[in-house]
Amino acid sequence: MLRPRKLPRETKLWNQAFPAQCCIVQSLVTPTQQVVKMAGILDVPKPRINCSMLSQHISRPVCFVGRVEKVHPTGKTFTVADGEGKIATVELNDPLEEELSGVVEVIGMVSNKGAIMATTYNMLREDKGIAFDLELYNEALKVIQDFPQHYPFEVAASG
Amino acid sequence: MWNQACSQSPGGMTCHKAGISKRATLQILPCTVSQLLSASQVSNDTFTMCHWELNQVSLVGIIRGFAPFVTNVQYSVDDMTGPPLSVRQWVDTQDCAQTLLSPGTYVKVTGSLRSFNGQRSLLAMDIRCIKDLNEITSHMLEVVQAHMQLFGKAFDVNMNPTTVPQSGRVLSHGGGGGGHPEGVLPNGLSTIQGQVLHVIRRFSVGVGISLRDLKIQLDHLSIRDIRDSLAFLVNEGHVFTTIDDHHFKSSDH
Repeated sequence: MLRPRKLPRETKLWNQAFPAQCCIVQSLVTPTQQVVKMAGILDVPKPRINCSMLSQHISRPVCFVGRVEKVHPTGKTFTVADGEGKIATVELNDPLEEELSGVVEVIGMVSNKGAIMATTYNMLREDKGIAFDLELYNEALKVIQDFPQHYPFEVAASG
Repeated sequence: MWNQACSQSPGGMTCHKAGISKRATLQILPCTVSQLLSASQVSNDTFTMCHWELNQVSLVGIIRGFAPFVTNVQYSVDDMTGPPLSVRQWVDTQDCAQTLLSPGTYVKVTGSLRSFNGQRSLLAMDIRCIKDLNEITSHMLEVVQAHMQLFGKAFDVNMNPTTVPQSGRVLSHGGGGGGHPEGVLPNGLSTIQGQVLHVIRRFSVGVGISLRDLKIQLDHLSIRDIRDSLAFLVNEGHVFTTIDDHHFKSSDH
Protein backbone atom coordinates (compact mmCIF):
# COMPACT_ATOMS: atom_id res chain seq x y z
CA MET A 1 0.00 0.00 0.00
CA LEU A 2 0.94 3.64 -0.14
CA ARG A 3 2.91 4.96 2.78
CA PRO A 4 1.06 7.89 4.32
CA ARG A 5 3.60 8.36 7.11
CA LYS A 6 6.22 10.01 4.96
CA LEU A 7 3.97 11.60 2.42
CA PRO A 8 3.45 15.14 3.76
CA ARG A 9 7.10 16.13 3.97
CA GLU A 10 8.00 14.65 0.65
CA THR A 11 4.99 16.10 -1.06
CA LYS A 12 6.26 19.47 0.01
CA LEU A 13 9.64 18.82 -1.56
CA TRP A 14 7.91 17.78 -4.71
CA ASN A 15 5.90 20.99 -4.68
CA GLN A 16 9.01 23.09 -4.45
CA ALA A 17 10.51 21.32 -7.37
CA PHE A 18 7.40 21.63 -9.50
CA PRO A 19 5.41 24.70 -8.48
CA ALA A 20 3.44 24.55 -11.70
CA GLN A 21 2.08 21.16 -10.77
CA CYS A 22 1.02 22.16 -7.29
CA CYS A 23 -2.62 21.58 -7.91
CA ILE A 24 -2.00 18.10 -9.25
CA VAL A 25 0.28 17.23 -6.38
CA GLN A 26 -2.20 18.57 -3.86
CA SER A 27 -4.72 16.10 -5.12
CA LEU A 28 -2.20 13.32 -4.61
CA VAL A 29 -3.21 12.89 -1.02
CA THR A 30 -6.78 12.27 -2.04
CA PRO A 31 -6.27 9.29 -4.34
CA THR A 32 -5.24 7.38 -1.25
CA GLN A 33 -8.47 8.39 0.41
CA GLN A 34 -10.44 7.62 -2.71
CA VAL A 35 -8.88 4.19 -2.82
CA VAL A 36 -9.87 3.66 0.79
CA LYS A 37 -13.41 4.81 0.06
CA MET A 38 -13.78 2.43 -2.85
CA ALA A 39 -11.58 -0.17 -1.20
CA GLY A 40 -14.36 -2.73 -0.99
CA ILE A 41 -14.69 -3.38 -4.68
CA LEU A 42 -11.29 -2.32 -5.99
CA ASP A 43 -9.40 -4.55 -3.57
CA VAL A 44 -11.02 -7.74 -4.79
CA PRO A 45 -10.90 -9.50 -8.15
CA LYS A 46 -13.31 -8.07 -10.70
CA PRO A 47 -13.75 -10.67 -13.45
CA ARG A 48 -13.81 -9.26 -16.96
CA ILE A 49 -17.12 -10.21 -18.54
CA ASN A 50 -19.44 -9.48 -21.46
CA CYS A 51 -23.25 -9.26 -21.51
CA SER A 52 -23.86 -12.99 -21.79
CA MET A 53 -21.84 -13.62 -18.60
CA LEU A 54 -23.80 -11.04 -16.55
CA SER A 55 -26.35 -13.56 -15.27
CA GLN A 56 -23.56 -15.73 -13.80
CA HIS A 57 -22.20 -12.78 -11.81
CA ILE A 58 -25.28 -11.43 -10.00
CA SER A 59 -24.32 -9.67 -6.74
CA ARG A 60 -20.64 -9.99 -7.64
CA PRO A 61 -18.08 -7.38 -8.68
CA VAL A 62 -17.24 -7.26 -12.38
CA CYS A 63 -15.27 -5.28 -14.93
CA PHE A 64 -17.16 -4.50 -18.11
CA VAL A 65 -15.57 -2.91 -21.17
CA GLY A 66 -17.98 -1.65 -23.83
CA ARG A 67 -18.88 1.15 -26.16
CA VAL A 68 -21.20 3.84 -24.80
CA GLU A 69 -24.55 3.73 -26.59
CA LYS A 70 -27.18 5.98 -24.95
CA VAL A 71 -26.89 8.25 -21.94
CA HIS A 72 -30.16 8.83 -20.05
CA PRO A 73 -31.12 12.54 -19.73
CA THR A 74 -30.83 12.29 -15.93
CA GLY A 75 -27.17 11.33 -16.39
CA LYS A 76 -27.56 8.59 -13.83
CA THR A 77 -27.74 5.68 -16.19
CA PHE A 78 -26.34 4.79 -19.59
CA THR A 79 -26.14 1.77 -21.88
CA VAL A 80 -23.04 0.06 -23.25
CA ALA A 81 -22.61 -2.44 -26.08
CA ASP A 82 -20.20 -5.36 -25.78
CA GLY A 83 -18.20 -7.04 -28.56
CA GLU A 84 -21.22 -9.13 -29.54
CA GLY A 85 -23.43 -6.05 -29.92
CA LYS A 86 -25.44 -6.93 -26.82
CA ILE A 87 -26.49 -4.08 -24.58
CA ALA A 88 -26.00 -3.70 -20.83
CA THR A 89 -27.31 -0.98 -18.53
CA VAL A 90 -24.98 0.88 -16.19
CA GLU A 91 -26.37 2.72 -13.17
CA LEU A 92 -24.43 5.38 -11.31
CA ASN A 93 -24.73 6.74 -7.78
CA ASP A 94 -24.18 10.32 -8.90
CA PRO A 95 -25.09 11.96 -12.20
CA LEU A 96 -22.37 12.14 -14.83
CA GLU A 97 -20.31 15.31 -14.75
CA GLU A 98 -18.74 14.82 -18.16
CA GLU A 99 -19.84 13.88 -21.61
CA LEU A 100 -19.52 10.15 -22.02
CA SER A 101 -18.60 8.53 -25.32
CA GLY A 102 -16.41 5.87 -26.87
CA VAL A 103 -14.94 2.96 -24.96
CA VAL A 104 -15.64 2.83 -21.27
CA GLU A 105 -14.46 0.42 -18.57
CA VAL A 106 -16.96 0.08 -15.75
CA ILE A 107 -16.27 -1.48 -12.33
CA GLY A 108 -19.39 -2.39 -10.39
CA MET A 109 -21.70 -4.98 -8.90
CA VAL A 110 -24.26 -6.82 -11.00
CA SER A 111 -27.82 -6.24 -9.76
CA ASN A 112 -30.55 -8.89 -9.68
CA LYS A 113 -31.88 -7.46 -12.92
CA GLY A 114 -28.48 -7.80 -14.58
CA ALA A 115 -27.65 -4.09 -14.54
CA ILE A 116 -24.18 -2.96 -13.53
CA MET A 117 -24.23 -0.74 -10.45
CA ALA A 118 -21.06 1.21 -11.14
CA THR A 119 -18.60 2.07 -8.40
CA THR A 120 -16.23 3.71 -10.81
CA TYR A 121 -15.69 3.97 -14.54
CA ASN A 122 -12.94 5.06 -16.89
CA MET A 123 -13.20 6.35 -20.40
CA LEU A 124 -10.51 4.63 -22.45
CA ARG A 125 -9.30 6.99 -25.14
CA GLU A 126 -8.66 5.61 -28.59
CA ASP A 127 -5.53 7.50 -29.50
CA LYS A 128 -4.63 8.65 -32.99
CA GLY A 129 -7.30 6.67 -34.76
CA ILE A 130 -6.24 3.25 -33.45
CA ALA A 131 -9.67 1.84 -32.75
CA PHE A 132 -10.23 -0.56 -29.89
CA ASP A 133 -11.33 -3.87 -31.36
CA LEU A 134 -14.19 -4.77 -29.05
CA GLU A 135 -14.89 -8.00 -30.93
CA LEU A 136 -11.32 -9.15 -30.41
CA TYR A 137 -11.53 -8.23 -26.73
CA ASN A 138 -14.69 -10.34 -26.56
CA GLU A 139 -12.81 -13.29 -28.06
CA ALA A 140 -10.08 -12.82 -25.46
CA LEU A 141 -12.74 -12.89 -22.74
CA LYS A 142 -13.82 -16.30 -23.98
CA VAL A 143 -10.21 -17.53 -23.96
CA ILE A 144 -9.54 -16.41 -20.40
CA GLN A 145 -12.85 -17.93 -19.37
CA ASP A 146 -11.80 -21.23 -20.97
CA PHE A 147 -8.44 -21.17 -19.18
CA PRO A 148 -9.08 -19.79 -15.70
CA GLN A 149 -5.97 -21.63 -14.46
CA HIS A 150 -3.82 -19.46 -16.74
CA TYR A 151 -5.71 -16.22 -16.11
CA PRO A 152 -7.05 -16.46 -12.55
CA PHE A 153 -9.43 -13.93 -11.04
CA GLU A 154 -8.48 -15.03 -7.55
CA VAL A 155 -5.38 -14.98 -5.40
CA ALA A 156 -4.18 -18.30 -4.00
CA ALA A 157 -3.86 -18.25 -0.24
CA SER A 158 -0.60 -20.19 -0.41
CA GLY A 159 1.17 -17.26 -2.09
CA MET B 1 18.92 2.88 -13.83
CA TRP B 2 18.62 -0.81 -14.58
CA ASN B 3 21.80 -1.62 -12.65
CA GLN B 4 20.81 0.68 -9.85
CA ALA B 5 17.51 -1.10 -9.49
CA CYS B 6 19.18 -4.46 -9.56
CA SER B 7 21.85 -3.66 -6.97
CA GLN B 8 19.34 -2.10 -4.60
CA SER B 9 17.79 -5.46 -4.01
CA PRO B 10 18.30 -6.25 -0.31
CA GLY B 11 19.06 -9.86 -1.07
CA GLY B 12 21.78 -9.00 -3.56
CA MET B 13 21.67 -9.96 -7.19
CA THR B 14 18.76 -12.26 -7.71
CA CYS B 15 20.16 -13.47 -10.99
CA HIS B 16 22.90 -15.57 -9.38
CA LYS B 17 21.08 -17.66 -6.86
CA ALA B 18 22.13 -21.07 -7.97
CA GLY B 19 20.57 -24.25 -6.81
CA ILE B 20 17.21 -22.90 -5.68
CA SER B 21 15.40 -23.51 -8.87
CA LYS B 22 16.99 -25.08 -11.88
CA ARG B 23 14.45 -23.72 -14.29
CA ALA B 24 14.05 -20.03 -14.82
CA THR B 25 11.88 -18.08 -17.17
CA LEU B 26 14.42 -16.26 -19.28
CA GLN B 27 12.08 -14.08 -21.24
CA ILE B 28 9.79 -11.39 -19.86
CA LEU B 29 6.81 -13.37 -18.64
CA PRO B 30 3.40 -11.73 -19.18
CA CYS B 31 1.48 -11.99 -15.91
CA THR B 32 -1.63 -10.95 -14.04
CA VAL B 33 -1.59 -9.36 -10.59
CA SER B 34 -3.31 -12.46 -9.20
CA GLN B 35 -0.51 -14.68 -10.53
CA LEU B 36 2.17 -12.44 -9.01
CA LEU B 37 0.43 -12.41 -5.65
CA SER B 38 -0.03 -16.19 -5.78
CA ALA B 39 3.60 -16.95 -6.76
CA SER B 40 5.54 -18.90 -4.14
CA GLN B 41 8.35 -17.08 -2.40
CA VAL B 42 11.43 -19.31 -2.13
CA SER B 43 13.80 -16.72 -0.70
CA ASN B 44 14.04 -13.00 -0.07
CA ASP B 45 13.52 -11.83 -3.60
CA THR B 46 13.08 -15.06 -5.48
CA PHE B 47 9.65 -16.20 -6.54
CA THR B 48 8.50 -19.22 -8.44
CA MET B 49 5.46 -20.29 -10.40
CA CYS B 50 5.07 -24.05 -10.72
CA HIS B 51 8.79 -24.41 -9.80
CA TRP B 52 9.87 -21.95 -12.47
CA GLU B 53 11.89 -19.08 -11.11
CA LEU B 54 10.56 -15.71 -12.15
CA ASN B 55 12.81 -13.10 -13.67
CA GLN B 56 11.22 -10.14 -15.33
CA VAL B 57 7.48 -9.99 -15.74
CA SER B 58 5.11 -7.69 -17.59
CA LEU B 59 1.77 -6.41 -16.43
CA VAL B 60 -0.98 -4.35 -18.06
CA GLY B 61 -3.32 -2.40 -15.82
CA ILE B 62 -4.89 0.88 -14.90
CA ILE B 63 -3.32 3.30 -12.42
CA ARG B 64 -5.59 3.71 -9.39
CA GLY B 65 -3.40 6.00 -7.33
CA PHE B 66 0.15 7.14 -6.86
CA ALA B 67 2.44 8.67 -4.28
CA PRO B 68 5.68 10.44 -5.14
CA PHE B 69 8.68 10.15 -2.85
CA VAL B 70 12.07 11.74 -3.25
CA THR B 71 13.70 8.68 -4.72
CA ASN B 72 10.77 6.81 -6.18
CA VAL B 73 7.16 6.94 -7.23
CA GLN B 74 4.70 4.32 -6.07
CA TYR B 75 1.75 3.52 -8.27
CA SER B 76 -1.05 1.14 -7.51
CA VAL B 77 -1.82 -0.73 -10.72
CA ASP B 78 -5.07 -2.66 -11.11
CA ASP B 79 -5.55 -5.31 -13.79
CA MET B 80 -8.89 -6.47 -12.28
CA THR B 81 -7.58 -9.93 -11.33
CA GLY B 82 -7.01 -8.99 -7.68
CA PRO B 83 -6.30 -5.97 -5.51
CA PRO B 84 -4.16 -3.27 -7.14
CA LEU B 85 -0.45 -4.12 -7.03
CA SER B 86 2.07 -1.63 -5.74
CA VAL B 87 4.56 -0.70 -8.46
CA ARG B 88 7.68 1.22 -7.53
CA GLN B 89 9.75 3.18 -10.00
CA TRP B 90 13.01 4.90 -9.12
CA VAL B 91 13.04 8.57 -9.98
CA ASP B 92 15.84 9.67 -12.21
CA THR B 93 16.72 13.00 -10.60
CA GLN B 94 18.09 14.29 -13.89
CA ASP B 95 14.78 13.93 -15.63
CA CYS B 96 11.82 14.06 -13.29
CA ALA B 97 9.28 15.07 -15.90
CA GLN B 98 9.15 11.52 -17.26
CA THR B 99 7.56 9.95 -14.25
CA LEU B 100 4.13 11.32 -13.38
CA LEU B 101 1.31 9.18 -14.70
CA SER B 102 -2.17 10.08 -13.54
CA PRO B 103 -4.85 7.74 -12.21
CA GLY B 104 -7.10 6.33 -14.90
CA THR B 105 -4.18 5.74 -17.28
CA TYR B 106 -3.64 2.26 -18.69
CA VAL B 107 0.01 1.28 -18.50
CA LYS B 108 2.29 -1.60 -19.37
CA VAL B 109 4.87 -2.28 -16.68
CA THR B 110 7.92 -4.50 -16.96
CA GLY B 111 9.88 -5.26 -13.84
CA SER B 112 10.63 -7.79 -11.19
CA LEU B 113 8.61 -8.96 -8.23
CA ARG B 114 9.88 -7.93 -4.79
CA SER B 115 8.74 -8.43 -1.24
CA PHE B 116 9.18 -5.91 1.54
CA ASN B 117 7.80 -6.61 5.01
CA GLY B 118 5.57 -9.24 3.52
CA GLN B 119 4.17 -6.73 1.06
CA ARG B 120 4.67 -7.63 -2.57
CA SER B 121 5.47 -5.00 -5.10
CA LEU B 122 6.80 -4.78 -8.60
CA LEU B 123 10.08 -2.95 -9.07
CA ALA B 124 9.55 -1.33 -12.44
CA MET B 125 12.24 -1.20 -15.10
CA ASP B 126 9.83 0.49 -17.45
CA ILE B 127 6.35 1.94 -17.22
CA ARG B 128 4.71 3.23 -20.36
CA CYS B 129 1.26 4.53 -21.21
CA ILE B 130 -0.72 2.32 -23.50
CA LYS B 131 -1.66 4.21 -26.64
CA ASP B 132 -3.24 1.32 -28.49
CA LEU B 133 -6.01 -0.08 -26.27
CA ASN B 134 -5.76 -3.40 -28.08
CA GLU B 135 -2.67 -4.04 -25.97
CA ILE B 136 -5.06 -4.78 -23.11
CA THR B 137 -6.50 -7.60 -25.20
CA SER B 138 -3.13 -8.82 -26.48
CA HIS B 139 -1.69 -8.92 -22.99
CA MET B 140 -4.60 -11.08 -21.79
CA LEU B 141 -3.94 -13.52 -24.62
CA GLU B 142 -0.17 -13.41 -24.08
CA VAL B 143 -0.63 -14.31 -20.42
CA VAL B 144 -2.69 -17.37 -21.30
CA GLN B 145 -0.35 -18.42 -24.12
CA ALA B 146 2.87 -17.96 -22.12
CA HIS B 147 1.60 -19.75 -19.04
CA MET B 148 0.16 -22.57 -21.07
CA GLN B 149 3.47 -23.03 -22.90
CA LEU B 150 5.64 -22.81 -19.78
CA PHE B 151 3.59 -24.65 -17.27
CA GLY B 152 1.84 -26.93 -19.72
CA LYS B 153 0.23 -29.15 -17.20
CA ALA B 154 -2.33 -27.01 -15.50
CA PHE B 155 -3.17 -26.70 -11.84
CA ASP B 156 -6.53 -25.80 -10.43
CA VAL B 157 -6.99 -23.40 -7.52
CA ASN B 158 -6.06 -26.10 -5.03
CA MET B 159 -2.84 -26.83 -6.94
CA ASN B 160 -4.09 -30.22 -8.07
CA PRO B 161 -2.96 -31.12 -11.56
CA THR B 162 -5.77 -30.87 -14.05
CA THR B 163 -5.87 -31.66 -17.71
CA VAL B 164 -5.63 -28.69 -20.01
CA PRO B 165 -8.90 -28.31 -21.91
CA GLN B 166 -8.20 -29.27 -25.48
CA SER B 167 -9.51 -26.10 -27.01
CA GLY B 168 -7.79 -26.40 -30.34
CA ARG B 169 -8.07 -22.75 -31.27
CA VAL B 170 -5.37 -21.89 -28.77
CA LEU B 171 -3.16 -24.93 -28.92
CA SER B 172 -3.01 -25.46 -32.64
CA HIS B 173 -1.56 -22.09 -33.63
CA GLY B 174 1.40 -22.58 -31.27
CA GLY B 175 4.06 -20.29 -32.66
CA GLY B 176 6.90 -21.61 -30.55
CA GLY B 177 5.90 -25.23 -30.60
CA GLY B 178 3.10 -24.68 -28.14
CA GLY B 179 2.11 -27.50 -25.86
CA HIS B 180 5.57 -29.09 -25.70
CA PRO B 181 7.32 -27.33 -22.86
CA GLU B 182 9.85 -30.15 -22.44
CA GLY B 183 11.11 -29.74 -25.99
CA VAL B 184 11.78 -26.02 -25.90
CA LEU B 185 15.42 -25.10 -26.44
CA PRO B 186 17.02 -22.11 -24.70
CA ASN B 187 16.66 -20.06 -27.89
CA GLY B 188 12.90 -20.55 -27.82
CA LEU B 189 12.80 -23.13 -30.61
CA SER B 190 11.30 -26.57 -30.28
CA THR B 191 13.74 -29.46 -30.68
CA ILE B 192 12.37 -30.16 -34.15
CA GLN B 193 12.73 -26.54 -35.20
CA GLY B 194 16.26 -26.58 -33.75
CA GLN B 195 17.22 -29.62 -35.84
CA VAL B 196 15.84 -28.08 -39.02
CA LEU B 197 17.69 -24.83 -38.36
CA HIS B 198 20.89 -26.72 -37.60
CA VAL B 199 20.82 -28.52 -40.95
CA ILE B 200 19.98 -25.33 -42.86
CA ARG B 201 22.95 -23.61 -41.21
CA ARG B 202 25.27 -26.41 -42.30
CA PHE B 203 24.14 -26.07 -45.90
CA SER B 204 23.91 -22.30 -46.08
CA VAL B 205 26.26 -21.89 -49.07
CA GLY B 206 25.32 -20.91 -52.60
CA VAL B 207 21.58 -21.14 -53.04
CA GLY B 208 21.15 -22.93 -49.73
CA ILE B 209 19.48 -26.27 -49.19
CA SER B 210 16.43 -27.53 -51.05
CA LEU B 211 13.42 -28.93 -49.28
CA ARG B 212 14.15 -32.35 -50.79
CA ASP B 213 17.73 -32.36 -49.46
CA LEU B 214 16.46 -31.17 -46.12
CA LYS B 215 14.10 -34.14 -46.00
CA ILE B 216 17.00 -36.50 -46.85
CA GLN B 217 19.12 -35.01 -44.06
CA LEU B 218 16.26 -35.25 -41.60
CA ASP B 219 14.65 -38.48 -42.70
CA HIS B 220 13.53 -39.28 -39.16
CA LEU B 221 11.18 -36.30 -39.28
CA SER B 222 7.89 -36.20 -41.12
CA ILE B 223 7.63 -33.80 -44.04
CA ARG B 224 4.82 -32.09 -42.18
CA ASP B 225 7.01 -31.34 -39.18
CA ILE B 226 9.72 -30.02 -41.48
CA ARG B 227 7.28 -27.79 -43.33
CA ASP B 228 5.79 -26.50 -40.08
CA SER B 229 9.25 -25.78 -38.69
CA LEU B 230 10.27 -24.02 -41.92
CA ALA B 231 7.16 -21.84 -41.80
CA PHE B 232 7.98 -20.89 -38.22
CA LEU B 233 11.70 -20.30 -38.88
CA VAL B 234 10.98 -18.15 -41.94
CA ASN B 235 8.34 -16.20 -40.02
CA GLU B 236 10.73 -15.57 -37.13
CA GLY B 237 13.53 -14.49 -39.47
CA HIS B 238 15.93 -17.35 -38.71
CA VAL B 239 15.67 -18.62 -42.27
CA PHE B 240 14.88 -17.12 -45.68
CA THR B 241 14.08 -18.51 -49.11
CA THR B 242 16.54 -18.07 -51.97
CA ILE B 243 16.06 -18.92 -55.68
CA ASP B 244 12.54 -20.22 -55.16
CA ASP B 245 10.17 -21.12 -52.33
CA HIS B 246 11.86 -24.49 -51.86
CA HIS B 247 15.46 -23.40 -51.18
CA PHE B 248 16.47 -22.10 -47.77
CA LYS B 249 19.41 -20.36 -46.16
CA SER B 250 20.03 -19.41 -42.56
CA SER B 251 19.97 -15.68 -41.94
CA ASP B 252 22.71 -15.74 -39.30
CA HIS B 253 25.20 -17.56 -41.52
